[in-house]
Amino acid sequence: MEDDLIGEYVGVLRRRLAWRSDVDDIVDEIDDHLREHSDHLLARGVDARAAHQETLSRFGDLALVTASFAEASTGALALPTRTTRMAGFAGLAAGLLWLAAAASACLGGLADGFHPWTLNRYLVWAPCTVAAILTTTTTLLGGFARVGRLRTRSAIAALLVMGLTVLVLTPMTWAVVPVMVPGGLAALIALRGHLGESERILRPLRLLGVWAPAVGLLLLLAHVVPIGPVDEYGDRPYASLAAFMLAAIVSAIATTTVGLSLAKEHPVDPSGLHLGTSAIG
Amino acid sequence: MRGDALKGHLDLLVLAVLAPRPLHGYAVIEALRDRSEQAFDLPEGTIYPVLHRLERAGLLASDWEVHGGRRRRVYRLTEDGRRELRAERAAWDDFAAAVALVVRKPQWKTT
Repeated sequence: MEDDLIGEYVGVLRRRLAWRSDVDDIVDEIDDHLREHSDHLLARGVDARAAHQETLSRFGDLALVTASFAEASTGALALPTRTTRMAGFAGLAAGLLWLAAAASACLGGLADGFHPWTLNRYLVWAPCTVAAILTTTTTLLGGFARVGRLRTRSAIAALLVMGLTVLVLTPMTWAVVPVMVPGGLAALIALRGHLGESERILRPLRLLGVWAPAVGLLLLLAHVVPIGPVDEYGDRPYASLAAFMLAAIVSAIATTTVGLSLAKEHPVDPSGLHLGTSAIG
Repeated sequence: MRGDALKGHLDLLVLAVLAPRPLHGYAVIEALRDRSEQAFDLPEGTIYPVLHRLERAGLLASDWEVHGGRRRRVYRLTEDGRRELRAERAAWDDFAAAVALVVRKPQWKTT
């Protein structure tokens, strides 16, 4: 058809919804809807161009339809933006920083014999860990924004816990435990049941929520279970070192996976969408 | 009636029109329009996110068919959807009855 307005509409919609994993199904479904409506009008004697125009007018403008597919249960838009993409890059950085923190902990431990937690190693390990937690927090922030849940109380609580823990992390290494337990649990609760279409992107954040309390518990157990020698502080450094290594490696996997997902999504400009007029249902 | 007036009720309306038989999205819109005697006239494109959300919630299921050479997705109520519809209908009946009691024209007694 010379003036295939429906084809043009569907083509633009496909580009705008490219961030959805089920974009092909959505576009096929909408194309069928529009063609059926247009066919009914053609059967009533309406000319092709007018039939397409009438059909598209009844379906709704592109901004409205795109926003209706992007609106989360919170009323915010759940779609990739430049900000969520930047958070994705932060996730990739977090993955590297967690690996650097793990390496510094491991290599220092080997070099220092029975006293792995020495000042020299701490001066390398602590900045890496702080930076890893900061970038992980940024990734979480982007993740919450991606699913339209950035301004929920549970999301703010999760981020607050992680942010505050960073402040006490530098002078007190054991503060890794509190960031793992409540931060991980809060993130898990905040994300529970609200991922929707974005689940494939943020599923690794759930992994972060599950493993964090587990590793925190392991670190606590390291003080009780007799693994390795006892240092001058009464701690068992090899047990806590093993727990931290596990934590850092799983963190690296989770943040890198989430980071890749967020970073590779083509950003959508939300200013072109009319939020508030599409919230039907 | 504008779409805004339907906000909060569309889930119930969609479940209700799908109760007798499975329908595709276009037929859902047509059924809403016909059964409301043309009162419910919303932008058609906004029905699909609602159908998808209800499917994710387990209240609807869908199957793909080929119709006239085009892929067509047909939705049907699940058992959970039927239970939800019964519960929502009962809640709506109570709500509508209570609203009617408040807003209907008072019957003044004459002695």
